[in-house]
Amino acid sequence: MLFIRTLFFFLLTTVTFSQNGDFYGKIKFNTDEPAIGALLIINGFEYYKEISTDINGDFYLKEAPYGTYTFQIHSLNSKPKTVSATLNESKKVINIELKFIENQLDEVLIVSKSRKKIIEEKGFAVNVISTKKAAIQSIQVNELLDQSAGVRVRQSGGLGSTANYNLNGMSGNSVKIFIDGVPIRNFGPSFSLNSIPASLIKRIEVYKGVVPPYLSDDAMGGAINIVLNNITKNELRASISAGSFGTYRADIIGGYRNNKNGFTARGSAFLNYADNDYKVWGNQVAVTLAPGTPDVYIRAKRFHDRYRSQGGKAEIGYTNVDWADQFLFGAVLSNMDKQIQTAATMEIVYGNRFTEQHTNMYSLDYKKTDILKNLDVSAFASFSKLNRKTIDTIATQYSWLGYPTNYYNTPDVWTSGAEAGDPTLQKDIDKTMNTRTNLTYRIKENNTLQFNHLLNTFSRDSDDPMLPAIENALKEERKYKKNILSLSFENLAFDKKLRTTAFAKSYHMNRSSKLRTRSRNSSNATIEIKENIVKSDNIGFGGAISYKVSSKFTVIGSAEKAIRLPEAGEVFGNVATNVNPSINLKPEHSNNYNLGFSVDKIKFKKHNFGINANVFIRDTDNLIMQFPIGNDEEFFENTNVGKIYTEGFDFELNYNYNNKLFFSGNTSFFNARDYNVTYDVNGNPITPTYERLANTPYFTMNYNVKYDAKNFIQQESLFSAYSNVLYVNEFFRHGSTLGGSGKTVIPTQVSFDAGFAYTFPKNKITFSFDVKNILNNQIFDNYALQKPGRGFYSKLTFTIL
Amino acid sequence: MNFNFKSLFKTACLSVITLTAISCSNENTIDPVNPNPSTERTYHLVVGSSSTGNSATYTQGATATELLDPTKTFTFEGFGFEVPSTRTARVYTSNDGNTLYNLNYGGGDISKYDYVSGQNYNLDLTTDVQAVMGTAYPRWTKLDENFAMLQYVATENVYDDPNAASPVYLRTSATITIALVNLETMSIIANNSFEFPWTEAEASQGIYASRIDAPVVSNGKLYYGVAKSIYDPITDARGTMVYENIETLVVDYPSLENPTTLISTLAEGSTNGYRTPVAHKDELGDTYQLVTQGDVSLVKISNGAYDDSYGKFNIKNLLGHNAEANTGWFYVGNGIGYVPVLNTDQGDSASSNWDVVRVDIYNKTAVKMDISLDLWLRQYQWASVIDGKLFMALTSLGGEGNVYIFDPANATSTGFTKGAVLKTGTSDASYIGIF
Repeated sequence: MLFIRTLFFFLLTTVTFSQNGDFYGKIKFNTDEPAIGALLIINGFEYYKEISTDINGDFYLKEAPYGTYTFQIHSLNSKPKTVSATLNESKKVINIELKFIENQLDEVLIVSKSRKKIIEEKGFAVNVISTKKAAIQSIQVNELLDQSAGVRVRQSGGLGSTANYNLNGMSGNSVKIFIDGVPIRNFGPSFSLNSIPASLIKRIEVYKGVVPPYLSDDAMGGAINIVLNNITKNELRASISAGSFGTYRADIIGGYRNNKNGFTARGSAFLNYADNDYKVWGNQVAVTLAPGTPDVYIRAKRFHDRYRSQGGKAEIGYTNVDWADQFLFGAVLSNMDKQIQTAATMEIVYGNRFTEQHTNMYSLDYKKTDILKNLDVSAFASFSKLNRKTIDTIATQYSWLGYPTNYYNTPDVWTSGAEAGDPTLQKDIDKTMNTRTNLTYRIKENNTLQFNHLLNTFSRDSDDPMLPAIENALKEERKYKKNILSLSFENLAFDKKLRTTAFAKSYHMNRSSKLRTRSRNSSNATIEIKENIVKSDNIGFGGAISYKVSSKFTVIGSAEKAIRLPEAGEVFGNVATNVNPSINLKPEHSNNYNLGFSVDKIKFKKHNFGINANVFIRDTDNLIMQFPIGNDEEFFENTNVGKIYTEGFDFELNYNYNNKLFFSGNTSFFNARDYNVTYDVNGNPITPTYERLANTPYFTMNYNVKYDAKNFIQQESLFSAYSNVLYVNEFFRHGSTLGGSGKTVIPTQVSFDAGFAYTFPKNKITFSFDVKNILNNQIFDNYALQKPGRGFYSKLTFTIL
Repeated sequence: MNFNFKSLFKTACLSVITLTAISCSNENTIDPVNPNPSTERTYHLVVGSSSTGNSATYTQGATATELLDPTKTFTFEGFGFEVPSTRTARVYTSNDGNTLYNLNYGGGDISKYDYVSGQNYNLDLTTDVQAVMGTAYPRWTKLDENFAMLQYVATENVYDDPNAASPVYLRTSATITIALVNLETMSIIANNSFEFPWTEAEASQGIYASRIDAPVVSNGKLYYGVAKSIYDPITDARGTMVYENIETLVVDYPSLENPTTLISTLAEGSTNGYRTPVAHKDELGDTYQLVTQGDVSLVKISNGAYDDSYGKFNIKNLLGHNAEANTGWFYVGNGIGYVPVLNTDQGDSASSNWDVVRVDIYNKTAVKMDISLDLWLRQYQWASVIDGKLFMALTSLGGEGNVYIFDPANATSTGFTKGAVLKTGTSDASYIGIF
């Protein structure tokens, strides 16, 4: 911008000697209302300027050299219009009339762009992924996340498979996921990143290492917040898609708002189906052709991996009325079922085991800005009931040939009585309650104080009819209550160039377990209940800072002493798996630091550039690890002994040419080292070898190219062709130090996707076609769990209203 | 911010150099130190990494000449063959040292590899055993040059009426599955499944056989060590097992039929060990069995029964402190053997308070060998007898050590010499044997 401005100034000074004049006029709609805040882009010979109309629709352009100009007018309520005019007098009047259309520009687009900017400028190390453009493709939310800098999503298979999220080297329980700021556990697996289609999502915020206080949870390594599309106008959109491996998906989203009284109703629904019957091969895919004889390797088709999920979300209430910005009652209903094809690796094949899950969640949401002077309030409460079932009652052994084997029995059986262990019809009923309150108080113009409270309660009741009744009745019952309070202060200084946020979080956890025992081993025994309660209180704090060196260059930094509270299973142990309780477990904690910069809007003719870069440190301590105890090692115990130190960087480059050709590329690398210390017989520490953290991808790159062509084939149509390449460098399954031959690696992954989308004139229908894993590479995110090969997907997106 | 790109870059360069170095050494596979490798049998140094989770096992070949040479250093840093496994590897080698056998615990298969040289091993055959064993988690023991046994125990609680609201727990049944493997063809040639022969006295207390391991063949019978567990029907949890006897499972060999048990109160504890040999047949055909949980002691089985006249060889009393030997032991010949023993007064099996004890099973004497290392031998699995001497790979926990060559003729605590220098390469690994 500076460049353009200088140029403009230069041109201006050179032309002042020739004749100049002023343009002025009014822009109004055909409804006779003035077009307020309409944008005018004025182009002339070596002349460019952007101005906007005032509250009366008037504009005034001073001192333009005589000549011919084009005026491009953009308004929220009209299609862009271009008119030409010649300036040949000292004051020239132009009045322009626009055709009024309700909400011509998609409101979502505007909001998400500005929100993206606002979030990024707070100083946190954050990726904001706008789903607007990707939603027309056949793309899973997990794939979108995976393309983002510093994020690695490790999936065990196709659509619906388990996913593990790694943010700058931190993963597992230390990464917390939220939907609209609500911990995802409250929604259950049927309403998750696996099932929610991209079109129902407005944006995804990925906070790396340092998490803003309004996302209250013990997120030690970062947080992913899914912000759903909350329509507050009359709109209805839908999409359907179909593709390889028996994949079918559909979704619909709509909203209604009565502009007179603010009554609002909105809803969305989705449907996913996938057979996931892709082919797998290699060292772990073998069959035996005669009893007890050596293996034969085959290319096998997965035959027991179907995934189905469906769900809907509905909200009803009032929006933008004088007593509330938002007052909505909501419900989420969803369910899923999933067959399970293999054990932890492809070596062991299942043919019957499956899981089912359904969620009922009800919520109340209230938001009001300036409820009192300078005080904003938002409150959210939800109650959910999650049912989860695991069905595994058949002992029949299957092979990769797709049918039971009959070598030693007809059929061969698992001695445990079922595929993955003892026969089970385990049913867990989880009840969770979640409330969140946020108060924001603006002290003068540049200071904001925020208070945030989260309460999450959880209780689980388990029932397994396959167990002998008494063992079922003796099952332990668990509950927890989590209270997280946070206070943050934000200050803007030096002309709003310096933005500082400081926050403190306090975590209060109350866990209880009801251990049931029989009074005696007889037919008239009673059951006694002993309740164990463990409480913990912890404090964490942090801050973020950003400084705008210029309008194009911003430096950001953030740091947090983050913690993760031990899970109930870690504290109370698990009788069934011989894990002893460890009630003195401390939380894991990590000192996280980020430092980065962003360069924005660098323009050179029609070339536009932007760069984001971030370096980070994660110093993680007290990691909970499980060790065998006692001389016979029959039992295990959790202890706070792990220590990992990570350094790394993310780098992202964005480029576009004339808003037609877009390129973005990112590279992430981190060096996570194991600092676990072992002690010799005298208790002296043995210097660790600082091995690279095993089984963790540490170097990834992603490149995305897109080309947009307007008026392709048909006038006012939009054609986009796009391609994405994801590279994940190979990594060792075990430590990096030992061994030199035959080391197990999770091999380098190059996933090359491409496709195109065609939006027909009037913006109503988009057709897209995607090819994924074009090279049909054998791709692994995890040891011995192959992901799908080449697949073709097509999708139709309709805007009905 | 002390983010150090330089060190990152250095690491990257170093890795490249190391990788290049390794790829070079792949090409010079014939060890120049050894002038005539083909005439000497190869032994295999094996280390296990990480005592928790999915551990990895690495192996490399070495000749007796090299093992004896104090100027020679072995390390697994950037060197060694990673034995493929899902959870953990359970390796054995052929007597000529040319073949490596492995059971893939968790993957449900057994494999054999041809030793090429150094760290190079080629996969020969893999056989799935999940169908015959009914599990992906069997264990196994190499019996001799041609055969190995696979074993597994599955348990289930038995009630008078399982559907009643408060049924009476009767006992826990243990189903044993065993299979005989022909190591030449890597095929299953016999198998059997039966309920463990239980006694009412123990069953009524909730005691059941939970593991069988480390079989030896003697006079057409297989003798299996047994570990037991106790179920507490009051809490629906496993209790702490307190042994009142020792027990051995006996089946006909090679038919694998007619299961019976030997029970004795000569000693109290388990007899199955961990992954190490527990029972050895001596030159006279008697079997000496180590008690692997409870006080360290040896008992004798002769003519198909525990030998009361031999009684209990109480090693713990001779050592003068509380001691357990929960891994196994190694027999050299003429009644002399060596036992890794844990001093339980000093710490549990996770601590490095282990010793190697020379035992004379005929004269019932025990001498603690004077090894000045912080030994952790919980997972120590194998030692080789070469020219009448026992070769063990001993290193300090997370540190260095040597090949220890124990001379059975020397009954003193210094009856050993040190051979090649051993380095694990990382603090979270330990040598588990010379195979």
